[in-house]
Amino acid sequence: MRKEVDVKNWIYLFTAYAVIWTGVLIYLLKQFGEQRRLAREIERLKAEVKGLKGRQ
Amino acid sequence: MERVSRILGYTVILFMILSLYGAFRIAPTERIMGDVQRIFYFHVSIALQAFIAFFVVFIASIVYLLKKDLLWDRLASCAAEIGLLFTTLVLITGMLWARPVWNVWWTWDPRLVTTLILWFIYVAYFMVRSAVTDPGRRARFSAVIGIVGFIDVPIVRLSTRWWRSIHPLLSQEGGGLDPTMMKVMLLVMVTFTLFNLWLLWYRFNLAQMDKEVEDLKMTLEEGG
Repeated sequence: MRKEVDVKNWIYLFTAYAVIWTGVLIYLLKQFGEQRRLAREIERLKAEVKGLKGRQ
Repeated sequence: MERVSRILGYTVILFMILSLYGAFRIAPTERIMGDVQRIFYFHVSIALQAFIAFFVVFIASIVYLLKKDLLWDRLASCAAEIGLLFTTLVLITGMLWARPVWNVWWTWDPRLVTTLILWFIYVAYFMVRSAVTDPGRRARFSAVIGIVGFIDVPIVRLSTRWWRSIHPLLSQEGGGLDPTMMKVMLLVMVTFTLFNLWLLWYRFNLAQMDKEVEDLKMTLEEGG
C-alpha cells in the first residue's frame, strides 16, 4: 500500500517538474526563434534603408 | 551587455542544476506527504517570481503614465508576459500537488481563486493589448490594467489569513520548516530570481529589436 502511494506521488512529482521545464523550454524556444527572425528583419531593412539613401 | 546577459544565463543554468540537486537529493522527505512535497520548492519560488514580475508591471505602468514614454510600456508588457507564464506554471503545479494531498485537482479555496483571478487579469491585459491598435491608447489602457490588476497580488498573499483556507501558510510554516528544507527553498528562490531577471532582460531586448524594425519600416515608408 505504502509503495503504491509512493509510486503515485512520484508520478505527480515528475509530472509537475515536467510541466515546469516544458513550459519554460517552449517559451524560451519561441523567444530564440523570435530573436533570429527580428535580427534577420533588421539586417534586411537596414540594407534597404542604405540603398534608399544611396539613390537619394 | 551581451556578455553580461550570457554570464547571467550560464549562472542561472548552474543554479538550476544545484536547485534540482537540492530539491531531490539534499532536502529530506516530508513525513506525511512524502516525495510529492518536493513540488513545494519550485511551486513557491515560481509564485514569488510571478509577484515580482507583476510588481515590475505595476511600477513600469505608473512611470509610463507619468512620462508617456513607450519604453516603459514595453517593459511592462514584457514583465506581464513573464508573470503570466509563471502564474500558469503555479496553477498547474498547484493542481498536481493538490491531487495527491487534498484528493482533488481543484478546490474553491481563497488562495486558489485569487490566483486564478490574477491569471485572468493578465490574460485580459494581453487581450486589450491585441485589441487596441493605436500605440498611445494601447499603452494607456494597459497601464491602467497593470496598476489596478496589481491590487490582486497582496490579496493573493493575504487570502490565507483573511479567509478560512486549507492552503498552507509559508510564513507560519517557516518557523516549523526543517532548516535543510528552508536552505533548499532559499536556494531555489535565488535561482528563480536570477532566472526572472535574465528572462526580463532578454525579453526586453527583443521588444527593443521589434521597435527598431518598426522604426526602420517607418523610415522606408517616408523615404519611398
